[in-house]
Amino acid sequence: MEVSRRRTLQKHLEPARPLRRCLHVVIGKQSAPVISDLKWWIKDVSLKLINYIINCSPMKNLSLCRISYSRDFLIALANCAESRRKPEFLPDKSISFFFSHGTSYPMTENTLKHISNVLKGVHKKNLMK
Amino acid sequence: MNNKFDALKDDDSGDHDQDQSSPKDSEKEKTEDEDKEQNISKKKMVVPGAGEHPLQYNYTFWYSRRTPGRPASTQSYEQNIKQIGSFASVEQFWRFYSHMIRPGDLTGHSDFHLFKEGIKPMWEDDANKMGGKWIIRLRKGLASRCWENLILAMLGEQFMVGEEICGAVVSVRFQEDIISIWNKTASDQATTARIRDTLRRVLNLPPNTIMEYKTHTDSIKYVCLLVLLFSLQPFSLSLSVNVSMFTNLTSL
Repeated sequence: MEVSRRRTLQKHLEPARPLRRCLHVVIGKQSAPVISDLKWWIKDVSLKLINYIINCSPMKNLSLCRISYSRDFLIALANCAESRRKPEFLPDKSISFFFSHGTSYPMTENTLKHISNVLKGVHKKNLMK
Repeated sequence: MNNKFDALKDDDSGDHDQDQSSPKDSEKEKTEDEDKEQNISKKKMVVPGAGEHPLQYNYTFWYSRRTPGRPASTQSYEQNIKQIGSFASVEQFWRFYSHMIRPGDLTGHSDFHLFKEGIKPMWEDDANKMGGKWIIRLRKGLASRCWENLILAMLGEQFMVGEEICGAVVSVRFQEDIISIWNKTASDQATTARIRDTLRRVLNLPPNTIMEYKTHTDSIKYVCLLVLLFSLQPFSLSLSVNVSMFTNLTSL
Protein backbone atom coordinates (compact mmCIF):
# COMPACT_ATOMS: atom_id res chain seq x y z
CA MET A 1 0.00 0.00 0.00
CA GLU A 2 2.81 2.41 0.90
CA VAL A 3 4.49 1.92 -2.44
CA SER A 4 1.35 2.72 -4.34
CA ARG A 5 0.77 5.92 -2.28
CA ARG A 6 4.29 7.10 -3.04
CA ARG A 7 3.75 6.51 -6.73
CA THR A 8 0.54 8.48 -6.80
CA LEU A 9 2.19 11.38 -4.99
CA GLN A 10 5.04 11.46 -7.52
CA LYS A 11 2.58 11.38 -10.33
CA HIS A 12 0.96 14.56 -9.10
CA LEU A 13 4.15 16.41 -8.30
CA GLU A 14 6.14 15.73 -11.44
CA PRO A 15 5.26 16.73 -14.98
CA ALA A 16 4.37 14.00 -17.39
CA ARG A 17 7.59 12.45 -18.63
CA PRO A 18 8.96 8.99 -19.06
CA LEU A 19 10.12 7.22 -15.95
CA ARG A 20 13.82 7.09 -15.32
CA ARG A 21 15.10 4.20 -17.35
CA CYS A 22 17.28 1.80 -15.42
CA LEU A 23 19.79 -0.28 -17.23
CA HIS A 24 19.60 -3.29 -14.92
CA VAL A 25 18.68 -6.27 -16.94
CA VAL A 26 16.69 -8.68 -14.86
CA ILE A 27 17.05 -12.21 -15.95
CA GLY A 28 13.79 -14.01 -16.12
CA LYS A 29 10.25 -13.02 -16.92
CA GLN A 30 10.75 -9.30 -16.21
CA SER A 31 13.56 -8.76 -18.76
CA ALA A 32 11.29 -8.17 -21.75
CA PRO A 33 9.61 -4.95 -20.53
CA VAL A 34 12.99 -3.48 -19.50
CA ILE A 35 14.44 -4.02 -22.96
CA SER A 36 11.37 -2.53 -24.59
CA ASP A 37 11.69 0.52 -22.31
CA LEU A 38 15.32 0.86 -23.31
CA LYS A 39 14.38 0.75 -26.96
CA TRP A 40 11.71 3.34 -26.36
CA TRP A 41 14.21 5.60 -24.59
CA ILE A 42 16.74 5.32 -27.43
CA LYS A 43 14.02 6.10 -29.97
CA ASP A 44 12.79 9.05 -27.91
CA VAL A 45 16.24 10.55 -27.49
CA SER A 46 17.17 10.07 -31.15
CA LEU A 47 13.90 11.66 -32.28
CA LYS A 48 14.49 14.64 -29.99
CA LEU A 49 18.01 14.99 -31.35
CA ILE A 50 16.83 14.91 -34.96
CA ASN A 51 14.10 17.38 -34.13
CA TYR A 52 16.65 19.71 -32.56
CA ILE A 53 18.95 19.49 -35.56
CA ILE A 54 16.13 20.24 -37.98
CA ASN A 55 14.30 22.98 -36.10
CA CYS A 56 16.34 24.49 -33.30
CA SER A 57 19.93 24.27 -34.34
CA PRO A 58 21.68 27.56 -35.11
CA MET A 59 23.29 25.74 -38.04
CA LYS A 60 19.90 25.41 -39.71
CA ASN A 61 20.57 27.98 -42.38
CA LEU A 62 24.20 27.31 -42.89
CA SER A 63 25.71 25.33 -45.68
CA LEU A 64 26.55 22.41 -43.41
CA CYS A 65 22.90 21.40 -43.33
CA ARG A 66 22.33 22.04 -47.02
CA ILE A 67 22.90 19.85 -50.00
CA SER A 68 25.58 21.63 -51.96
CA TYR A 69 27.60 20.57 -54.97
CA SER A 70 30.58 22.13 -56.66
CA ARG A 71 30.44 23.05 -60.33
CA ASP A 72 32.95 20.34 -61.21
CA PHE A 73 30.95 17.68 -59.41
CA LEU A 74 27.75 18.68 -61.20
CA ILE A 75 29.49 18.69 -64.57
CA ALA A 76 30.98 15.27 -63.87
CA LEU A 77 27.46 13.90 -63.47
CA ALA A 78 26.36 15.28 -66.83
CA ASN A 79 27.78 12.38 -68.76
CA CYS A 80 26.35 9.50 -66.76
CA ALA A 81 23.69 7.41 -68.46
CA GLU A 82 20.88 8.63 -66.21
CA SER A 83 21.63 12.24 -67.05
CA ARG A 84 21.67 11.66 -70.80
CA ARG A 85 18.31 9.94 -71.02
CA LYS A 86 15.87 11.90 -73.10
CA PRO A 87 12.80 13.21 -71.25
CA GLU A 88 9.57 11.36 -72.02
CA PHE A 89 8.00 14.10 -74.11
CA LEU A 90 9.81 15.98 -76.79
CA PRO A 91 9.78 19.73 -76.34
CA ASP A 92 9.04 22.29 -78.97
CA LYS A 93 11.39 21.90 -81.94
CA SER A 94 13.05 25.22 -81.33
CA ILE A 95 14.32 24.17 -77.93
CA SER A 96 14.77 20.45 -78.44
CA PHE A 97 18.10 18.92 -79.22
CA PHE A 98 19.59 15.72 -80.37
CA PHE A 99 22.82 14.38 -79.09
CA SER A 100 25.66 14.02 -81.51
CA HIS A 101 27.32 10.64 -81.62
CA GLY A 102 29.84 9.98 -78.90
CA THR A 103 29.82 13.43 -77.32
CA SER A 104 27.69 15.04 -74.72
CA TYR A 105 27.44 18.32 -76.55
CA PRO A 106 23.93 18.70 -77.91
CA MET A 107 23.44 19.71 -81.53
CA THR A 108 20.49 21.33 -83.24
CA GLU A 109 18.65 19.69 -86.11
CA ASN A 110 20.11 22.30 -88.47
CA THR A 111 23.62 21.50 -87.31
CA LEU A 112 23.04 17.79 -87.86
CA LYS A 113 21.66 18.49 -91.34
CA HIS A 114 24.65 20.68 -92.08
CA ILE A 115 27.04 17.95 -90.92
CA SER A 116 25.27 15.32 -93.00
CA ASN A 117 25.36 17.63 -96.04
CA VAL A 118 29.05 18.24 -95.55
CA LEU A 119 29.67 14.52 -95.22
CA LYS A 120 27.65 13.84 -98.35
CA GLY A 121 29.70 16.46 -100.18
CA VAL A 122 32.91 14.82 -99.02
CA HIS A 123 31.59 11.45 -100.09
CA LYS A 124 30.69 12.80 -103.55
CA LYS A 125 34.13 14.36 -103.92
CA ASN A 126 35.72 11.03 -102.99
CA LEU A 127 33.58 9.27 -105.57
CA MET A 128 34.56 11.80 -108.25
CA LYS A 129 38.23 11.18 -107.57
CA MET B 1 9.98 14.42 -63.83
CA ASN B 2 7.07 16.64 -64.55
CA ASN B 3 6.97 17.36 -68.27
CA LYS B 4 4.79 19.97 -69.84
CA PHE B 5 6.19 19.99 -73.33
CA ASP B 6 2.70 19.71 -74.76
CA ALA B 7 2.15 23.27 -73.64
CA LEU B 8 5.06 24.33 -75.82
CA LYS B 9 3.58 22.49 -78.79
CA ASP B 10 0.31 24.34 -78.21
CA ASP B 11 2.21 27.60 -78.12
CA ASP B 12 3.54 27.07 -81.61
CA SER B 13 0.23 26.00 -83.07
CA GLY B 14 -0.87 29.64 -83.17
CA ASP B 15 -4.43 28.83 -82.17
CA HIS B 16 -4.61 31.14 -79.20
CA ASP B 17 -5.55 34.39 -80.83
CA GLN B 18 -7.85 35.78 -78.18
CA ASP B 19 -9.19 38.64 -80.29
CA GLN B 20 -11.06 36.27 -82.56
CA SER B 21 -12.51 34.11 -79.80
CA SER B 22 -16.00 34.72 -78.40
CA PRO B 23 -16.59 35.52 -74.71
CA LYS B 24 -17.95 32.01 -74.22
CA ASP B 25 -14.78 30.58 -75.67
CA SER B 26 -12.72 32.71 -73.37
CA GLU B 27 -14.77 31.50 -70.42
CA LYS B 28 -14.20 27.93 -71.51
CA GLU B 29 -10.52 28.63 -71.81
CA LYS B 30 -10.51 30.11 -68.32
CA THR B 31 -12.17 27.05 -66.83
CA GLU B 32 -9.84 24.81 -68.75
CA ASP B 33 -6.89 26.79 -67.46
CA GLU B 34 -8.23 26.50 -63.92
CA ASP B 35 -8.66 22.76 -64.37
CA LYS B 36 -5.13 22.52 -65.67
CA GLU B 37 -3.82 24.44 -62.69
CA GLN B 38 -5.75 22.17 -60.33
CA ASN B 39 -4.38 19.12 -62.09
CA ILE B 40 -0.90 20.48 -61.81
CA SER B 41 -1.35 21.10 -58.09
CA LYS B 42 -2.79 17.61 -57.67
CA LYS B 43 0.20 16.07 -59.37
CA LYS B 44 2.77 14.56 -57.13
CA MET B 45 5.84 16.62 -56.46
CA VAL B 46 8.83 15.49 -58.43
CA VAL B 47 11.26 13.38 -56.39
CA PRO B 48 14.82 12.20 -56.97
CA GLY B 49 15.10 8.74 -58.47
CA ALA B 50 16.84 5.87 -56.70
CA GLY B 51 20.57 6.43 -56.60
CA GLU B 52 20.30 9.96 -57.95
CA HIS B 53 21.86 13.02 -56.32
CA PRO B 54 19.11 15.07 -54.69
CA LEU B 55 19.09 18.85 -54.85
CA GLN B 56 18.35 21.09 -51.89
CA TYR B 57 15.21 22.32 -53.68
CA ASN B 58 13.11 21.19 -56.61
CA TYR B 59 13.34 23.53 -59.58
CA THR B 60 11.24 24.25 -62.66
CA PHE B 61 12.44 25.31 -66.10
CA TRP B 62 10.29 27.93 -67.85
CA TYR B 63 10.51 29.31 -71.34
CA SER B 64 9.04 32.43 -72.89
CA ARG B 65 9.20 33.84 -76.36
CA ARG B 66 7.50 36.71 -78.13
CA THR B 67 6.18 35.05 -81.24
CA PRO B 68 6.59 37.24 -84.31
CA GLY B 69 3.52 37.81 -86.45
CA ARG B 70 1.11 37.50 -83.59
CA PRO B 71 -0.74 40.59 -82.39
CA ALA B 72 1.25 41.86 -79.45
CA SER B 73 -1.80 43.23 -77.66
CA THR B 74 -3.15 39.76 -76.93
CA GLN B 75 0.00 38.57 -75.27
CA SER B 76 0.41 39.11 -71.60
CA TYR B 77 3.57 38.08 -69.87
CA GLU B 78 1.82 35.28 -68.01
CA GLN B 79 0.29 33.84 -71.16
CA ASN B 80 3.63 33.88 -72.89
CA ILE B 81 5.51 31.93 -70.29
CA LYS B 82 5.47 28.13 -70.47
CA GLN B 83 6.67 25.48 -68.10
CA ILE B 84 9.13 23.00 -69.54
CA GLY B 85 9.46 20.69 -66.56
CA SER B 86 10.51 20.21 -62.96
CA PHE B 87 13.36 18.24 -61.46
CA ALA B 88 14.59 17.21 -58.04
CA SER B 89 18.01 15.73 -58.69
CA VAL B 90 21.22 16.54 -60.53
CA GLU B 91 20.58 13.77 -63.05
CA GLN B 92 17.05 14.99 -63.75
CA PHE B 93 18.42 18.50 -64.28
CA TRP B 94 20.90 17.29 -66.90
CA ARG B 95 18.17 15.38 -68.71
CA PHE B 96 16.36 18.66 -69.33
CA TYR B 97 19.39 20.84 -69.83
CA SER B 98 21.03 18.50 -72.31
CA HIS B 99 17.96 18.57 -74.49
CA MET B 100 17.49 22.30 -74.46
CA ILE B 101 19.03 24.74 -76.85
CA ARG B 102 21.77 26.92 -75.41
CA PRO B 103 20.61 30.49 -74.75
CA GLY B 104 23.23 31.81 -77.16
CA ASP B 105 21.60 29.86 -79.98
CA LEU B 106 18.10 31.16 -79.25
CA THR B 107 16.68 33.58 -81.76
CA GLY B 108 14.45 36.56 -81.22
CA HIS B 109 13.04 37.80 -77.97
CA SER B 110 13.34 34.70 -75.77
CA ASP B 111 13.94 33.88 -72.13
CA PHE B 112 14.83 30.83 -70.11
CA HIS B 113 13.83 30.89 -66.45
CA LEU B 114 14.92 28.47 -63.75
CA PHE B 115 12.96 28.96 -60.55
CA LYS B 116 12.35 26.98 -57.41
CA GLU B 117 9.30 24.79 -57.75
CA GLY B 118 6.22 26.71 -56.67
CA ILE B 119 7.64 30.14 -57.53
CA LYS B 120 6.45 31.69 -60.77
CA PRO B 121 8.99 33.84 -62.61
CA MET B 122 6.85 36.91 -62.08
CA TRP B 123 7.18 40.00 -59.91
CA GLU B 124 3.71 39.41 -58.49
CA ASP B 125 4.47 35.98 -57.03
CA ASP B 126 4.38 35.96 -53.22
CA ALA B 127 8.00 34.84 -53.04
CA ASN B 128 9.13 37.61 -55.38
CA LYS B 129 7.01 40.62 -54.52
CA MET B 130 9.30 41.90 -51.76
CA GLY B 131 12.40 40.93 -53.66
CA GLY B 132 14.68 42.10 -56.39
CA LYS B 133 17.31 40.91 -58.84
CA TRP B 134 20.91 41.37 -59.78
CA ILE B 135 21.23 42.11 -63.50
CA ILE B 136 24.28 41.64 -65.69
CA ARG B 137 24.21 42.73 -69.30
CA LEU B 138 26.37 40.60 -71.56
CA ARG B 139 27.66 41.17 -75.03
CA LYS B 140 26.59 38.60 -77.56
CA GLY B 141 28.38 35.28 -77.36
CA LEU B 142 28.71 35.05 -73.58
CA ALA B 143 25.19 34.08 -72.54
CA SER B 144 25.46 30.29 -72.81
CA ARG B 145 28.52 29.94 -70.62
CA CYS B 146 27.38 32.51 -68.06
CA TRP B 147 23.90 30.96 -67.85
CA GLU B 148 25.38 27.51 -67.27
CA ASN B 149 27.72 28.75 -64.56
CA LEU B 150 24.93 30.70 -62.91
CA ILE B 151 22.44 27.85 -62.72
CA LEU B 152 25.08 25.34 -61.62
CA ALA B 153 25.98 27.67 -58.75
CA MET B 154 22.32 28.03 -57.85
CA LEU B 155 21.57 24.29 -57.96
CA GLY B 156 24.76 23.52 -56.06
CA GLU B 157 23.79 26.00 -53.29
CA GLN B 158 26.90 28.10 -53.78
CA PHE B 159 25.25 31.39 -52.84
CA MET B 160 25.00 30.48 -49.12
CA VAL B 161 22.08 32.80 -48.42
CA GLY B 162 19.66 30.29 -46.97
CA GLU B 163 16.33 30.28 -48.74
CA GLU B 164 16.77 33.72 -50.27
CA ILE B 165 17.32 32.71 -53.89
CA CYS B 166 14.14 32.44 -55.98
CA GLY B 167 15.53 31.73 -59.42
CA ALA B 168 17.54 32.86 -62.41
CA VAL B 169 16.69 34.23 -65.85
CA VAL B 170 18.57 34.54 -69.12
CA SER B 171 17.05 36.96 -71.60
CA VAL B 172 18.12 36.91 -75.23
CA ARG B 173 17.64 40.29 -76.87
CA PHE B 174 18.60 41.92 -80.14
CA GLN B 175 21.89 43.55 -79.26
CA GLU B 176 22.75 42.04 -75.91
CA ASP B 177 21.86 39.23 -73.56
CA ILE B 178 20.91 39.67 -69.92
CA ILE B 179 21.26 37.29 -67.02
CA SER B 180 19.68 37.92 -63.66
CA ILE B 181 19.25 36.22 -60.33
CA TRP B 182 16.18 36.90 -58.23
CA ASN B 183 16.03 36.91 -54.44
CA LYS B 184 13.22 37.19 -51.89
CA THR B 185 14.16 40.19 -49.77
CA ALA B 186 15.40 43.27 -51.54
CA SER B 187 15.87 45.15 -48.25
CA ASP B 188 18.36 42.61 -46.89
CA GLN B 189 21.61 44.28 -47.89
CA ALA B 190 23.87 41.61 -46.43
CA THR B 191 22.14 38.99 -48.54
CA THR B 192 22.16 41.02 -51.74
CA ALA B 193 25.85 41.81 -51.23
CA ARG B 194 26.64 38.15 -50.72
CA ILE B 195 24.73 37.23 -53.88
CA ARG B 196 26.63 39.90 -55.82
CA ASP B 197 30.00 38.66 -54.61
CA THR B 198 29.16 35.02 -55.34
CA LEU B 199 27.89 36.00 -58.76
CA ARG B 200 31.18 37.76 -59.49
CA ARG B 201 33.10 34.69 -58.40
CA VAL B 202 31.10 32.00 -60.20
CA LEU B 203 30.86 33.97 -63.44
CA ASN B 204 34.48 35.04 -63.18
CA LEU B 205 33.50 38.61 -63.93
CA PRO B 206 36.17 41.29 -64.28
CA PRO B 207 36.16 43.83 -61.43
CA ASN B 208 34.86 46.64 -63.62
CA THR B 209 31.74 44.72 -64.66
CA ILE B 210 28.60 46.75 -64.10
CA MET B 211 26.11 44.94 -61.90
CA GLU B 212 22.75 46.47 -61.27
CA TYR B 213 20.34 45.60 -58.46
CA LYS B 214 16.72 46.34 -59.14
CA THR B 215 13.85 45.80 -56.74
CA HIS B 216 10.69 44.34 -58.25
CA THR B 217 8.60 47.16 -56.81
CA ASP B 218 10.79 49.64 -58.70
CA SER B 219 10.36 47.59 -61.87
CA ILE B 220 6.57 47.64 -61.46
CA LYS B 221 6.58 51.40 -60.78
CA TYR B 222 8.74 51.99 -63.85
CA VAL B 223 6.39 50.04 -66.10
CA CYS B 224 3.33 51.78 -64.65
CA LEU B 225 4.95 55.18 -65.22
CA LEU B 226 5.78 54.36 -68.82
CA VAL B 227 2.26 53.12 -69.46
CA LEU B 228 0.87 56.30 -67.94
CA LEU B 229 3.15 58.51 -70.02
CA PHE B 230 2.23 56.77 -73.24
CA SER B 231 -1.46 56.81 -72.40
CA LEU B 232 -1.29 60.60 -71.96
CA GLN B 233 0.24 61.14 -75.40
CA PRO B 234 -2.59 61.70 -77.86
CA PHE B 235 -0.50 60.93 -80.94
CA SER B 236 1.25 57.88 -79.57
CA LEU B 237 0.78 54.48 -81.06
CA SER B 238 -2.05 52.39 -79.71
CA LEU B 239 -1.78 51.96 -75.97
CA SER B 240 -2.34 48.23 -76.08
CA VAL B 241 0.78 47.69 -78.12
CA ASN B 242 2.81 49.77 -75.70
CA VAL B 243 1.43 47.97 -72.67
CA SER B 244 2.29 44.59 -74.11
CA MET B 245 5.74 45.85 -74.92
CA PHE B 246 6.30 46.78 -71.29
CA THR B 247 4.77 43.69 -69.81
CA ASN B 248 7.36 41.73 -71.71
CA LEU B 249 10.02 43.65 -69.85
CA THR B 250 9.28 41.78 -66.66
CA SER B 251 12.11 39.41 -67.31
CA LEU B 252 14.58 42.23 -67.60
